[in-house]
Amino acid sequence: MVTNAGRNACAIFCLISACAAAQMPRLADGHPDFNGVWNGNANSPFVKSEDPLAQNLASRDGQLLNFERDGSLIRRANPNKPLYKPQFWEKVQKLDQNGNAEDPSYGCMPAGVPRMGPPPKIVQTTKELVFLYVSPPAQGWGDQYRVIPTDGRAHTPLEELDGTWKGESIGRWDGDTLVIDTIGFNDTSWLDIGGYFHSENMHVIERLRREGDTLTWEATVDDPDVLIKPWTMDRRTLRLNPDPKATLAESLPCVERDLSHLVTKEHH
Amino acid sequence: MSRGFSCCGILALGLCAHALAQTSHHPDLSGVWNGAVAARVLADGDKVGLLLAAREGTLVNFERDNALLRRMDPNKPVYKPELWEKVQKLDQSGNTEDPAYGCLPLGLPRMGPPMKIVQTVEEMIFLYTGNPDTYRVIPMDGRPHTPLDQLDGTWKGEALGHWEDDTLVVDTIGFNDTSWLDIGGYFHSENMHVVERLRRDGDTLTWQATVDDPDVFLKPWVMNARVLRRNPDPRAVLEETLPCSERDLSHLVTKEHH
Repeated sequence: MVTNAGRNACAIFCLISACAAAQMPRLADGHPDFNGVWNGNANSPFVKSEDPLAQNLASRDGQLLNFERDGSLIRRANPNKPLYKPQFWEKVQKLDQNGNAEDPSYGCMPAGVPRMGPPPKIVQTTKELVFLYVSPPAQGWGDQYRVIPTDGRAHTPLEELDGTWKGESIGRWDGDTLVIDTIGFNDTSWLDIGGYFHSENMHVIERLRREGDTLTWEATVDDPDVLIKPWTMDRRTLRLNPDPKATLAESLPCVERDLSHLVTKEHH
Repeated sequence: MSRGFSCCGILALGLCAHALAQTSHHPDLSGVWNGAVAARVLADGDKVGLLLAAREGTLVNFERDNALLRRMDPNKPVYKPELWEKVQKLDQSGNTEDPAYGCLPLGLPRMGPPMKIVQTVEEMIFLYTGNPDTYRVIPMDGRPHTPLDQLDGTWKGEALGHWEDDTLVVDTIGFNDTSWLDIGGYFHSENMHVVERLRRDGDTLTWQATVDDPDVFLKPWVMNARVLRRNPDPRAVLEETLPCSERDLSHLVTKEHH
């Protein structure tokens, strides 16, 4: 135990040192400090008038009319798609066309990795990182967590793993970048809307990097059973919540009441 | 800035952070605490056992017998007399009324003690498996509760932690009135106040919750203490829980839990 005066002196010295060292807050082990609530930058579902796409969209400039359908159109217009082997093109299309019934996240099932995306809160110790998630209201897979050991352990052999939604994640530091390697998935989850299924041999690598008060997350999905080449998903950038007392709101539980009332088959 | 100076700063920062972490004089509750599930099977000499098919580990009727054992526990919440009928009715229609039977969260305190604790100086993270996998973030920075009328009632409420000597005390308010405290129709109001006390002795962790709800109880209910054993494997992981998918409820022919 140290005295308060000692603690304060130490804290002040730390502060000065941190200013001098600038840029990257670090933990005692020298690795970048990812602790915090990272929810400052939700993507806007709206396009602006100057976007060439916008002239066709009712929801431009924040209009709510058709915004769900337009949001889906914008996502579908993204040229960055997973490239499936030709023999699966028909399957992907059929799943997509029956998305309301086939997409597991439309039936209160978890999103799984990598669809659950970057975490809105990270707790970091020298042995592990804990990623805490809240689910979007439209999905409702609850307040999920991932525990990612960084103690240098090896993966369990794939055949000894029960396939799960989140898989077995192991983290390591590549310089200042946190690299998370995950295997051991079920083949139920999708990568996104659009019928993007995967096999149990999926292998996901996430890379997280902090620059100042932003965190960049990027995931690469490799699945040699179904994809022609690994798919590098669009990068997502989060901003650190500046309030040190920020909390995550509790997700509302998912209760499937609407599915049987939908008259269309395809997501919009 | 010279490279040497920058390194020095980082080193100093590291040493300071390390020193502060080391000087925390609180017990270390971190780890996986899943080593001690209470046995549900009665020993041969138990008088109740004579009446139960499930005694000595036979699986016949073990679910129903288990519910009988839980119902015999004399430690029950004591409701105000005007609410006795409501509790009984909820209990008698438990299969449709109990939110946990419809894939809804258990909520606090029914979710019980955490299976894994991650401890930092600023907060405690409680990780749960079960229905469903969920977490609680418990700030330890001395902040006060948000006034109750400004909180949206939730399943987990607003939890704040502090140390009373070597006991971690978690104080939670801000609940919805949907969750139950246990089977038996044990509902509560939005004014429920839960205080959990966690204490480590060697490699065991004792968890005990006290539920106060002056709207519905005659007096606070001190739930049975639960003792967990620390998983000795430093690489132990929590298993992912299967997602809840309600397929059976419409096929149940009884109304009451068993």
